[in-house]
Amino acid sequence: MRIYLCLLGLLIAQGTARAGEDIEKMPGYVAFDAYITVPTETETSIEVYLKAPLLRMVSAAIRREEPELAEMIDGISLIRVHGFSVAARELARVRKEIAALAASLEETGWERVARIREGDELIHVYLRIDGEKVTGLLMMGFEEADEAVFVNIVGDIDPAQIGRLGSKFNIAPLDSLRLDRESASTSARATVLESEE
Amino acid sequence: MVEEVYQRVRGELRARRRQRLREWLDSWRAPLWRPVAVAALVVVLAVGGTVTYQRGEPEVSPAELARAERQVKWTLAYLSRMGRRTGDRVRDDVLRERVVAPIQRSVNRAMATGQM
Repeated sequence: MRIYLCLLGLLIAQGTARAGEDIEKMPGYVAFDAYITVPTETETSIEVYLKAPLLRMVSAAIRREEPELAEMIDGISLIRVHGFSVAARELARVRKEIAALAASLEETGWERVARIREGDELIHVYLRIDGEKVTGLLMMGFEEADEAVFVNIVGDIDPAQIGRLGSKFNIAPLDSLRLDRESASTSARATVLESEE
Repeated sequence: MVEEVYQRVRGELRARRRQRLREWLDSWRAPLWRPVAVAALVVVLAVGGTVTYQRGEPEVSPAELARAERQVKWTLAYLSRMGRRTGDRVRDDVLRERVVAPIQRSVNRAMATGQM
């Protein structure tokens, strides 16, 4: 009887874990909020938070027209982007916080693949590699002198595929998505992203 | 008298036999109903859990789905663009950190110890 109860317990635990899918415990997840203090009066230029259930729906919706992109999205558990403006007086603090986060990532097994400084822009790119798989990607830094951007992708990632597929799409200014969020119309879609194909 | 004793003994024997049969049946019945009950419970929980999990998924309108698709593509395009921009820089970084700097360090060390 005890064996049956143990089995039952395991099944229930497994079911609960699946239902919850605790994204924050995945190795590729970066809790950048814990390091970066977003100024209260700041203007958020972009905020994307797409978890697995919604990503699966997107994947299903585009599978026929864009099978390679759909397949790639299938492997992703989270897409998170946060971009916000930083006032001049806050710049030094945010830069320091980004440096602290970068140091912490390096201590916890993340691999720095790039750090670019172009004038006022400073971008860090990190990959989380487990075995032979890339399970996390983090890009963070200043897009413009006063625009901090954080991008975290969690899941089974192929950076080369991201580069290849991403290059097919034209990119709109960061705040276009914020405007879009307010009026989520499908007609705006064509103006923001145009496939080059 | 003998008949009475005989009847009593027979009755006791019958009762004992019944008791043994009941015990034997019980010994079979217990392991039988338990797995059946546990299996039924597992099925109910699995079905119930799946239904609850599916119901727990957000209901998404076509507009929201289109927005999510756009956000995915935007993010990929952004990463791709940054990747392209980093390409040359990475090469410079790698050369500076992993080739030039170690050579400089070796040369400095060698000069310091007067080996050159």
